[in-house]
Amino acid sequence: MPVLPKPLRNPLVLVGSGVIVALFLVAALAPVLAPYGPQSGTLLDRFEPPGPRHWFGTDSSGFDIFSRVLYGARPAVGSGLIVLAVSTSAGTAVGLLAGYGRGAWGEVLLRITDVFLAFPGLLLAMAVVAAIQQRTLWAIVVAISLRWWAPYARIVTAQTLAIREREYVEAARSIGARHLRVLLRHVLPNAFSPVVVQATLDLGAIILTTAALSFIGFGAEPGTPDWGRMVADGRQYMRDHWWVVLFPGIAIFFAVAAFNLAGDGARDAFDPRLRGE
Amino acid sequence: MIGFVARRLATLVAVVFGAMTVTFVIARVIPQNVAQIWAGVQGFKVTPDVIALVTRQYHLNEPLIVQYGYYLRDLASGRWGTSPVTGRPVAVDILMYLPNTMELAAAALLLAVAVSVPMGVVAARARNSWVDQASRALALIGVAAPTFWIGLLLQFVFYYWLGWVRDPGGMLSDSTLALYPVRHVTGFVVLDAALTGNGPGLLDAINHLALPAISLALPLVALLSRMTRSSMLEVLNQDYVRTARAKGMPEWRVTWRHALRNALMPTVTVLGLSTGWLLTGSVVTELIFYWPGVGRYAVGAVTSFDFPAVTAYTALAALIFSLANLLTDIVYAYVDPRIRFA
Amino acid sequence: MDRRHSATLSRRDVLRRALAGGALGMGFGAGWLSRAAGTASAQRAISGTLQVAWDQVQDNLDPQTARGNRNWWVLTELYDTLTYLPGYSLDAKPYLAESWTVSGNGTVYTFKLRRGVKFTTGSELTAEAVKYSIDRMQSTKLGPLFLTVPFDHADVVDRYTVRFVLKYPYAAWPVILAHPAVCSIVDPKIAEAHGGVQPGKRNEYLSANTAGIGAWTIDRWDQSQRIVLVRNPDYWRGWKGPHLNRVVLETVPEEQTRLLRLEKGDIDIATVNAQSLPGLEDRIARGHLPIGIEKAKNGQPLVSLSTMQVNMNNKLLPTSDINVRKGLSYAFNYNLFISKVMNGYAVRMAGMIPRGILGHVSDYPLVDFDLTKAKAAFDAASAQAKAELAKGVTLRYVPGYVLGQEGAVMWQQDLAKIGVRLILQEIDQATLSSLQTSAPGVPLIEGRWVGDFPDPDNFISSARTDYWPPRGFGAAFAGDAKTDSLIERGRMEQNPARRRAIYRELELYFRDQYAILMVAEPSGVLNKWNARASWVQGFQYNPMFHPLFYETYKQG
Repeated sequence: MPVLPKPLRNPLVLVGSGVIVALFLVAALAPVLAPYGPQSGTLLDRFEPPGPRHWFGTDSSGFDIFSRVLYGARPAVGSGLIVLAVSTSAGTAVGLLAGYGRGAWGEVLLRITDVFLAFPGLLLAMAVVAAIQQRTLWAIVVAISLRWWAPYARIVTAQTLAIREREYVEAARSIGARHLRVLLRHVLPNAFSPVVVQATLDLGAIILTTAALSFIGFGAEPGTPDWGRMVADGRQYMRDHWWVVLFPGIAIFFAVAAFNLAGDGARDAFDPRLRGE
Repeated sequence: MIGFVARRLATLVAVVFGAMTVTFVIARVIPQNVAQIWAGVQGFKVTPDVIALVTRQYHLNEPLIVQYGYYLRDLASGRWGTSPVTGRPVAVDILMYLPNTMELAAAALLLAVAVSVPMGVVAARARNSWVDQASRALALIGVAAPTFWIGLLLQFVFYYWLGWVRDPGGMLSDSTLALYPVRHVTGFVVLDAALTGNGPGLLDAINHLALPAISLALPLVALLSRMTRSSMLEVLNQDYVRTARAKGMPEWRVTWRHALRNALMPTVTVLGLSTGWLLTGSVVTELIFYWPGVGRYAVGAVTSFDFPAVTAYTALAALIFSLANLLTDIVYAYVDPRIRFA
Repeated sequence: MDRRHSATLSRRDVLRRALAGGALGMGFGAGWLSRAAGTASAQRAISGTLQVAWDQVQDNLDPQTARGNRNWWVLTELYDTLTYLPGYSLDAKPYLAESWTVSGNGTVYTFKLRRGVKFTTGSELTAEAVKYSIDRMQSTKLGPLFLTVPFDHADVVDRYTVRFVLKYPYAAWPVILAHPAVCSIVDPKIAEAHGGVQPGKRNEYLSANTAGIGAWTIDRWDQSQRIVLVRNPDYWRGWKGPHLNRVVLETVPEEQTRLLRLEKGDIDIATVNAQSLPGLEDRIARGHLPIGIEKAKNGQPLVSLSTMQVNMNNKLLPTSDINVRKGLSYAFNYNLFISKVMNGYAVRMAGMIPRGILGHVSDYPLVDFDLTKAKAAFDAASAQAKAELAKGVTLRYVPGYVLGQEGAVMWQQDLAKIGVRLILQEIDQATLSSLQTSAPGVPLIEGRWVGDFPDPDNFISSARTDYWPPRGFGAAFAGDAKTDSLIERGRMEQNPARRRAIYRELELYFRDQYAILMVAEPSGVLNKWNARASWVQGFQYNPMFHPLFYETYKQG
């Protein structure tokens, strides 16, 4: 298979990447693909078992679970990407400053990063959502991002510190390149690959964290086709209507598994030492 | 070595102080109408004078910096503030539930190490064998399946279908407590039962511990077994392993003594990080298995707007996590001479 | 890799897996062991234990400072009261009081106490102790003081006679005294020995220990897990005949887990919510499970003496406009909600006073779901209200408390059809009660009234201004002169027929004002003790479903 890049030759990574591509496609095309809207149906149609009319059955509000699982790709991918956009940019900025700037400033930034790293993610998110007093997807995104940037800052700091010492940066410096240029041209590209690996793995972790928050009672807005919320809300009907919990649960599982497989693949590609071959 | 530990300890103090500041901001700066909500918790009629009383009691109208002073004083005094919901010092409640969480976390950690290290080693030795595939599948499930989903499933299978566990949750069954009370020695039920020679109590405690420990351990098994596998693969190709083999050392000795000892290094580093998962995962696990731990207490506190309790636990979790990482660093430094003087 | 090596390894691997499996198995095997060891000897030693699995967590068992049914349900077992409501009765019967008289103007109640009754602490029940207890609630100011608004003071007449002087005539007083929070009698000696009475402060000792007269005492309280009650051997009613030895009240928060344990036969009584009842009944029928769900009592369907409503603030825009309230009321699909979300375990709420209580209006003119009428009403609203409505109106609710997500979403969708945007906001119980109890409140908030005592005055409490602040309890329809005067007259009236007329006038006035959105009156089948193993006999509760385990026993 000459055309495939190396990491994709691992069948599991291939499957994972395929699922991710499918996930993004579903998120984009949900209105086209879904037979029903995410909230179409009435209480009269509730708890219909899986069948030709409703492939995954209907939920406690009478909504088509198949459609909701498809639409659910949107908040899953969306909130994940927003959290990542916030945390990678904040994390990269802090990391670059901490790693590149010498002295007290770098030290302070590092300590602030350490403080946020010290919080277990779910606990901090839980406290923040409660403090904001808003149980919306936005509140969850804010709450998760508050902790999530810290590992990126760590990664970027470590990379920056390592690269800073390397000769080519020294050389670039000595020929008078300005700091910003050094940062952009030399440090950032090198920090890029571990950040991408971490981000891929994190997309899965974010989905799991929002699901756990939903379980605790801090979910997205009522009626939102959010997988975590669907499982959390559906668990009280599980004994009689298994499909209400099963399908969104499977969606979570596949999405998270895919991001993990792809993340592992990306890591193998970027860091040959860790390759399991 | 001592200098290294001292330096790390100083960092830890700074980090915990920072964590307390963050929790203060979350508890006192962000929320609106705190006095009104707490007054509502305390009395049926929220009149202006009740709100004024609560405001005074919790110094809510003082400047933030003064409030911060009171907050630190509360934490330092060992009471960790007074809960507006239960009216008790937060420390009393948390210390009552904390041993239970620690017991669950310890069991999950032991279980994870006991399962994942051998599994990782075997998977590395017999690549693409059924063990390797099974461990890969298990790792995927552990990483990707929501903990509460797994927990509900375990209850259904092992309690309802197979009947292998006595209760789908809780720490000890009532009959055990009535007939074979576990005497309080350390506060950890399994340990106490073992120390006092209480056989039925010990068995019952382990029986109740099994399912929550498994569901909490699963993501760790995933992490640790893959970690062990990949570092094992790396180590097995090293010169000294080849030398040992060439010298005619039995293969099992090469694997389990020579290679494993060195392959475990990365696994040790992950153990510190696992504490983060144990603290997070215990919240959901304790809810499913109605385990009387501090995670379940924290959720109750969050939903009843009991901010002194929430912040105390969040800060405590940060402390535990930092301590665990410090410990890992020390162990790592001790094991790996290259890092010792870093 | 050498083939031979991998073969040996995989055999070793099997061995090791077996070892690991054994370690795991020990945990499970323990189940069999302790179960086998437990059955023979344990059954004898702890026979007569009633296992209850419910979803409640207790935080305080001091009768004068505890709040909420979750605590009161347990306190009923620990503290007998002067009167009680046995066998689902709406009338007060003598309990620790042998008899009572009421003065001609209805303001002075004189109770003769049963003689020779002992507290679990050994002291004797005296009038002094009764006065001490009710005064203690008034001075700590932590209990549900709204229940004792009529109370002025108590006098000790002699050692066994106590007199309650009320601020105004109040016919329901003997019934109120059956409430565990109002007149649980504590041993003054014990209370004084542990800190006495301090305003605004809980008594740490009494919060966790009993010092009363009751059939049961606390054997063990594993915080947030279970409360174990054991017989009080010296109980004044005696223990002749079949009785339980112990009652274990275990907190099992997940409904699915309660169901599993109940269906496996490990639990004698469990709480099962409306959404799981049809499925459970189905499995009972198919699997011949020895479980029963009580649907009727004395030939009558069980009523809950509680109401589920959405309170519409009559002082805040847009709900201060009667047309907006009318539109919202017409846009709620009551029957669909009751048949689907409540699975039929509810009836239409017809007035604030529920069925079975004096003053309930049997021919109440219900508001029926009608989107055309709703639209017309919204169109008739004032310009100000319309402008406010255009921004969307927010419904705050606690998930699973009254409406649940399904009910809220249903209402939201129906309102959307006529161009009204309902924003759903989930809140927690603490925020809900704070919004309900303080001004200015919010336009829409759900509320639930679980009866405390079977008198109309309790059910129109949410409109009372002497206890709740104006615009208070979700602003049902408070702070209105006509409401206040009707409530005042209703509570003081002694003649039942005239009283009924007053409440009718009040209810119809509320109806004309579209004062509250009456969601449903849940069926009494949804009580906390609704699913019971068939061997549980003689289980009693009062009309508010406070259990009485004294007469319960297990047989078969």
